[in-house]
Amino acid sequence: MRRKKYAIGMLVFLMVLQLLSLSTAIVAAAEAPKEGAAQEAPKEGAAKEEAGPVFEAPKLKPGDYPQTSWFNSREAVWVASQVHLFFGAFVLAVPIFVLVIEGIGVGTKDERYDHMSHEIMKVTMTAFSLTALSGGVLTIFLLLFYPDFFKYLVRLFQPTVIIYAFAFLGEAVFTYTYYYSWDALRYGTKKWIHLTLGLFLNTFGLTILFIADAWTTFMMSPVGINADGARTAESIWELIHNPLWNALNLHRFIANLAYGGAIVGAYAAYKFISSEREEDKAHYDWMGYTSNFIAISALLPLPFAGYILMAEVYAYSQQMGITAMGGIMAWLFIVQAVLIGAVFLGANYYLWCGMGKISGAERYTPYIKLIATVIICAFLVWLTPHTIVMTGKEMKIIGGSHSPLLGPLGIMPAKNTAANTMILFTFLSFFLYRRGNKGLTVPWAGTGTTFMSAFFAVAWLNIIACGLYGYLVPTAFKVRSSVPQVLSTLSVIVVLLIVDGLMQKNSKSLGPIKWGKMSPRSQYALFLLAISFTWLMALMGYIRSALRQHWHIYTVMRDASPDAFTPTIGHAVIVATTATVIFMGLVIFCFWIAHISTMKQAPIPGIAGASESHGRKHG
Amino acid sequence: MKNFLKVIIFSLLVLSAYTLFPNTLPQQKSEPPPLEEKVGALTMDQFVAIGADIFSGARGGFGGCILCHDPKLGRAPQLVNMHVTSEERLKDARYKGKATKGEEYLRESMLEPAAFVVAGFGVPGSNDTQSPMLVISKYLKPWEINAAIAYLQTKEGGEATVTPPTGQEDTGGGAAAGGAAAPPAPAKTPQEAFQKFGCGACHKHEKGGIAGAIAPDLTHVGSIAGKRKPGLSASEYIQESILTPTAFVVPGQPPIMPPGFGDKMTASEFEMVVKFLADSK
Repeated sequence: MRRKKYAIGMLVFLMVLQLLSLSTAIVAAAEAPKEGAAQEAPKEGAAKEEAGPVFEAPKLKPGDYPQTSWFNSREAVWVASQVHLFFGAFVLAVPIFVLVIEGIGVGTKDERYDHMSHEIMKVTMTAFSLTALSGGVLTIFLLLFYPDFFKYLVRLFQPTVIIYAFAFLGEAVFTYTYYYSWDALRYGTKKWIHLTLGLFLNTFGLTILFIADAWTTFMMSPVGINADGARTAESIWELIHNPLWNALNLHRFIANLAYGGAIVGAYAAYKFISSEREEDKAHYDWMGYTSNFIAISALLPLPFAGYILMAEVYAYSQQMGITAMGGIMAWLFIVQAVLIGAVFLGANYYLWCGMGKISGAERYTPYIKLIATVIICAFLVWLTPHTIVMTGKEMKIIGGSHSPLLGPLGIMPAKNTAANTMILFTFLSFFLYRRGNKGLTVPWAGTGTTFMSAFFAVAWLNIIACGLYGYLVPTAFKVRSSVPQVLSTLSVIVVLLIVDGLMQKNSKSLGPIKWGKMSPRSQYALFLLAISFTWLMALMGYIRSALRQHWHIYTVMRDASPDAFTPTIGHAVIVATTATVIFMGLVIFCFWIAHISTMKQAPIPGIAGASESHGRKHG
Repeated sequence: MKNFLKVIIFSLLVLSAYTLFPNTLPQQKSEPPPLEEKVGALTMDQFVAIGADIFSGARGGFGGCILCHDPKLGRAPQLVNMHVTSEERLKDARYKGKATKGEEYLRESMLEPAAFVVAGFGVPGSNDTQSPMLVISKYLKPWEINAAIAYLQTKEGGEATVTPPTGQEDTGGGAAAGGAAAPPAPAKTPQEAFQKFGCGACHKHEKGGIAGAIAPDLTHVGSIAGKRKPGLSASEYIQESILTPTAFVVPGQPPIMPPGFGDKMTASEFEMVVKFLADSK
């Protein structure tokens, strides 16, 4: 127990170290431009020509965008950037995920965690190369098709581009060192050195993420430049720390964790259904569960992070917010609801299947129907649009495009209530799974369970009451009523985990967890999660980017290309699917490479140096 | 290999479902505003009409004042009787701006909205001292702001005090300045026209590339248009339906077709669309 606390303490210390090193990078970024600014700022009273290289956003014309007859230039950049972002998310997320699992392995002294994290890193190695390659393709496409815009943005963010390049180099060095030193630094003090390597790897990874986020969010919420795009900020920090930067950093960090978990879960699921040996099945079942656990743990707070991002979008520009939620993009949020619903249902289904292998969990089986009913109802509310697609005849019968019965479910109070309900009941599935084989021995077990049930019920009622309150008050109060809803959900998660943790002290096991005793069908829930996460990232990434409409840099630098229009929903999702299929194909390649590296051909007699031991087939 | 194929098929089915579902929803493409314009001399009526388009969001690139000032939504104050209201605001004790006339107040409220924030519509927590209104000068040029003022002053019967462009002045903002501008270039194909005028929000036409679901399907309208009203050929009926949508409403359909497309379309666009629809058999 003491060792566990020590391990957790060390991890926290290392995390602080990581944040400190990150802040050093940011300060460096903030300091660097001051020299540049001094060189480039116009001298007071001097003619513009004498003032040095003050640069403005170029006023582009359609002819400034080279085109090719082979393919559409915007779609080429769109797909390339999306595939690069998928890989970027994967290779940034997996090391975080791996470090956490490795840390848990050290804390619990359970070698399974170590094997699992090592195996996952192996898959990442190929993905790392593909990230660099897709980044190269994206850069080439940008230079080919959007040369003036790319040049302007790079020049504006010059110091961060240099830091980005070095961070990428650091990421490469630590990725390879971290992976290849795994067995050499496996136990004792050396393990801590290995964990530190992982920490540095993640420091560089997060630096890359935050810098890329600065460029992305600057395009949406530019600050530190005037209406002509000339820099007015004294420090580049002002450009980096634009209104949407922190919100996107938070959202992407949490989403990457969930994404990493989902992809690893899919890997484990494939290995599970392909394995024939019982111990392999047990290993990959456990790996799938652990990955899913981390993915869903990150998924639960993700809607809140998304909410913060959208609130920041509204705060920066009401126009942009309304375009997203009430304008041309609004239907895409209904599509998003379908995807999120699929993710939640898939995750719950996987857990419910998993309860079948836990001795003692059968006592919770009757609750599954209740949980499923509530989640499906909440899902249906979430995907109910405000304006319903109807034929003219249907519209005439109903009396307008808003259904009197379902119309009220299309607005924000209903959506917030549904989202919180889905999160709450998904947590309940996890909670029951976690409790599955635990026989409580504390004398206050009954009282504790009653307290938790009451707490859960009151929180849910509060969520519903706040939702109903939202119908009675103006918009500003509607938005505010979502805060107590979120707090209710979070308080349930925190309070129930604490109370249950105390109750499980000295609990007795009601039987073993039979790892590997899962139906193959349950593994498809993990594939569903990975596909849905990937496609959802493409969809939501499109929405975020499309909020700029016909601007490269919102309200400052106009997109004058022939492709400056906002495409139809159907067009956008086809591009999202194309990027997803390409990425999935390449991920399968990564998995295959990882698998083939464990294979060895049987020796051919007569070849010098060939032996039985070298010819053995592994894995 | 069998498992691999099963997983691939499952993945493709899921992706197909995710791709097909959004294609069943209303499809609308949003065109950017034109890059360049030359504003010639405008009559007051033309000027007010441009102001009306700016207000309603019909001019590309700017969502329109109605996005927030829609009385049904209550996001921002209602803009009614502004020829009177603008004068009254100047007398309000909370007014701290520099305007002395209603016209100046309206201009100031767009360029410096914090000069007077209508009670209850300020940034939350600012006690109505800060306005959430966007920086309108990023979207509209000075003459367009004047057009919006002209529209606001006249829409409930007031008199416009602003002067329409004479064609001699600098209209502000050159190419690629990003402002809203004169009507976009005429559509070259019926498909372009459908996109330009947003027909796909309601109507469907398979060859026209639109898939709306709340108004009559126009895919084969040419074969039935001639039978709608006695005495009218297919082309004449279609012309009438565009110019005066209320003249004949298809039984069972709601009267939701907006008027005014006859004014918005150029003559060549109008002819092209009518011919295309009449030939859609």
